Amino acid sequence: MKKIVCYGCNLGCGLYFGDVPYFRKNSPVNSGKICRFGMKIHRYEKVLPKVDGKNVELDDAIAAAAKKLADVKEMAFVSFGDVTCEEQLAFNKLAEAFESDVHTCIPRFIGANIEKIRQSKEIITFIDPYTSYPLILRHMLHAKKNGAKITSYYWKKLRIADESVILNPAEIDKIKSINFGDSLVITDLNPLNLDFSNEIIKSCNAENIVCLKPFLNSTGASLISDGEKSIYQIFEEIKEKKIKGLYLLESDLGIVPDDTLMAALDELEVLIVQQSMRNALSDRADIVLCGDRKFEGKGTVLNFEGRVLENEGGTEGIKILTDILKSVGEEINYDKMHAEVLSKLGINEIDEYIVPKYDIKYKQREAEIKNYEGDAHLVYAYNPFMWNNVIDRDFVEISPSLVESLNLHKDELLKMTSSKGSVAVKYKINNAMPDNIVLSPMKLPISTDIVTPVNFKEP
Amino acid sequence: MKIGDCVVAWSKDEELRKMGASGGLVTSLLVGALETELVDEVIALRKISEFEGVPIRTSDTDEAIRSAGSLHAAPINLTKFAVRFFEEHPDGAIALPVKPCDCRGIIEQAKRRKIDMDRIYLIGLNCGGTMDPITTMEMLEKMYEMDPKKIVEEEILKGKLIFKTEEEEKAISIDEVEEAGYGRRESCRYCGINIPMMADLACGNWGAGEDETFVEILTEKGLRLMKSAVDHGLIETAPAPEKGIKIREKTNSVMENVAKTWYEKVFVPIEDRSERMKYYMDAMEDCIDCEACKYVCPVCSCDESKCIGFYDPMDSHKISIYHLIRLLHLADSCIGCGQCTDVCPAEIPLTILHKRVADRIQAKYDYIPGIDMKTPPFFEVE
Amino acid sequence: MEEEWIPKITLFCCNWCSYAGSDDAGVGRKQQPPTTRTIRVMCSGRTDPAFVLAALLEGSDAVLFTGCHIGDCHYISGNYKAKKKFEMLKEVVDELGLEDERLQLQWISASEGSEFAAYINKVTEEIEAIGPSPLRQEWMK
Repeated sequence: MKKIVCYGCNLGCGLYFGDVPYFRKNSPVNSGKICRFGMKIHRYEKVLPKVDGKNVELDDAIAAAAKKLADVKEMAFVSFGDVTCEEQLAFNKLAEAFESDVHTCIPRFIGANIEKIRQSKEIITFIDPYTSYPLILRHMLHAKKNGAKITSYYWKKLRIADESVILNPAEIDKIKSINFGDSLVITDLNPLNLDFSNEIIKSCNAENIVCLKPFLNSTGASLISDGEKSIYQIFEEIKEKKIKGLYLLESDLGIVPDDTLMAALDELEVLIVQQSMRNALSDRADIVLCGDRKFEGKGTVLNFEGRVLENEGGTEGIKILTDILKSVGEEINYDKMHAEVLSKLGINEIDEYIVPKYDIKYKQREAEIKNYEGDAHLVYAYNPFMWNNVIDRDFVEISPSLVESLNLHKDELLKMTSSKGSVAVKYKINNAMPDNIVLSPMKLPISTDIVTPVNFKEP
Repeated sequence: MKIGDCVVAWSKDEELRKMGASGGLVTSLLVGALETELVDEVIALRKISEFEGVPIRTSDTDEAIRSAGSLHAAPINLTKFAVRFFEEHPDGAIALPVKPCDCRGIIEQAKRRKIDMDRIYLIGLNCGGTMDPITTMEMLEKMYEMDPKKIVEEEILKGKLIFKTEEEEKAISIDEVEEAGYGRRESCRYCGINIPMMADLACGNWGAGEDETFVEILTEKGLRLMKSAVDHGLIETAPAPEKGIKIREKTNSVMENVAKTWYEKVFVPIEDRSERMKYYMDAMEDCIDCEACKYVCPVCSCDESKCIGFYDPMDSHKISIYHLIRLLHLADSCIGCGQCTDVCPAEIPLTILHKRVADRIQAKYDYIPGIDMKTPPFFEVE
Repeated sequence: MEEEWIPKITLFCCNWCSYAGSDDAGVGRKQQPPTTRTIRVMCSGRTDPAFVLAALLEGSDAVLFTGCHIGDCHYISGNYKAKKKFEMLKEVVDELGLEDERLQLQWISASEGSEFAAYINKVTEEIEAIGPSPLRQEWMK
């Protein structure tokens, strides 16, 4: 069995993998415990190499990609960090060879570590640890057992919180007036909520923020790559034809709530994706290069604390990049990349039980956080399944009194209408929900953003 | 040698005798079982460090030799690995070292026809308890003031927990470390089955001298294992001294008493009905649906699991039906091994919840799971 | 307006005896309260404990196992199995803190219409006395 790191999020949960996952009880972050995503990491359909919709040998796909890269100028390279540091670095080299940067869509930031959560006496959380980043829950429970007061700011009441403040999309800018004091703040930094997390990060001390991130190696990738464009900026530039070709490394742009944005991809001269999972993106790409499955790449991974972890596996992903780089006359290999990663991190060897010190300046964003119109809202609640585009919860959560007022019966569907149209979905009644919010763990076709104003009238 | 005999034994290979714990007997038995083709494969823990052991299934003797050495801080139950072996090789034979809880799990699986008892060789190991690796590392730093990475050996002797590095050795009494919340896993503290009398052999260092193992031969299969290793020139044996037998008995009864005290401390009955309801409801509400407890459970054996089949995340029940069905299903078979608590990401004390229910039913039907082949009460229809 | 709470009792009847018994109660016009929801199973042995747990969680205030008298099972030993399941389940439900009245076992033959009605009356009174089940969500109707 190989020692691997779960790619569900950037917590860095260690586990073993043979044919199926098994618990690695001395793993520092999770003591061998894994969430429902970790239990199922291996269950996905692998994609096959393709050029223009036809299945081909991997070598031919690589040759086709090299040719396109040489032909199309204004290529953009995107990697959210669902790869090891070594692969990310190799991808950097590729981008450099074509005079471009790799965009991770997540700003550089490392905050407090897990030990800090465990020791805290006051915690403010902006995430729901039961659905997103579930393995952080046990550390919060530990703090709570030792007398910590937990306050949550979320779309519904959280069981773990002593005080639950329910966010109202119409007055979301109220988070500006929260007095954080010396509390430890738990929030997340993901490509879809940059303005929200920006607001929090800038109003408290960096040492007091535990900043979780959504992809396997988001932290490592953001340290290694310099690109600063956000996911929405990339779509914008594709529409403006500033970007004519796109090379996506294990990065599904389809995580954006608004599906219509994806139409922009048709404007591209070439869309190259290098990923292992078959999904809507791999189906629409011009060239598909497939490497190891997400958890099978050998190399180094940094979790949200900056803890350096090792993933055992193969180097197929790097080999694809190596082969493409050969076409421009550059020679790289795994060992070279590994040595460079270690020197970039300033360490000699990997020790998963130590969190190295980092000196990183967070670059503040200019944008202001904005309120949403309307009385009722559909909120897209993210979880590890979301960023891997897997639906395992096909229902929304609503309050008992909303069910009552809409006169819904068991097994009936909840009908909602937004500016984009209508949808009927299954619902779950949850006492913790406020009456004006519909919380959806999956992306619905009517959503326009993380928060979408909706009404419940028949269209 | 015959069934019922107590002997002391050790590996003839000098290197193995030093490498393995207590004379390397168990490793030699595994090697012997493979070399004499008594079994197709063996299961063992490959030692990575004092705090990490990876379960492996192998037919390679070198690999088996590399698994030598005891690990107290790698609390893994091997039952499900044995089950998977029989799924893949229904006619195969396998040997593995087992703690009492591994052995009880295997017997319960055998009752449910997942394991063939005639083709599984159980080398029982005396067990005073296992420790969680992460808490143990924390304990070493805080209480022993030692660097976990430098630990080369650990041992439980005369009520003390001893850690050794190349330079030094420190001992603190188990009571003291457990008072501070460290030491053995909770389920081990109240477990009173320390000598695996239901295995084929019961091995351990209680009552044995330096670099040798005390072995009680319990079954025909056990005798076969010992004989084949002796005939193959892998181990040497001598009759166990009277004194050794006495020491072993005494150690066992001391451990049993400690367990009893812990049991009473942990399982304080909740008399009031509504308090009980609140207790269970509250404990299970943190569940995040990972199903790890079911996956790891050594006695859980459904092919199509009812607990998952009846559960729908869309339900808004006050207690998850998944857990209720599991409480019921394990009521007659729960061995209290602690694996479910170990793997629960929400830190639900599942073992205690299961045991609270199971103990009632097991007492009612006078049934102790995993110690013999008695039919479980659920399957017994008059 | 708050609706008045009426006990909701899920009743598992076996096809051959207790269902016929309940039919007999109806045909004989025996008075009984409208508190029961009857589920017909082919044999009391088919009443899976998971059904019972599901019924309790979905808002039943009580669940009744009924079947042929011991020795009379249409399938020879089905009701022995039902008894075993019931006993195990009873322990679990009791440990969970549910009152004794909320889970009951009663053998009813095809001709015991008046006994059936009397039994339903008795259970309804018992449940009315102890109130709604703690497993029931407030909004469950």
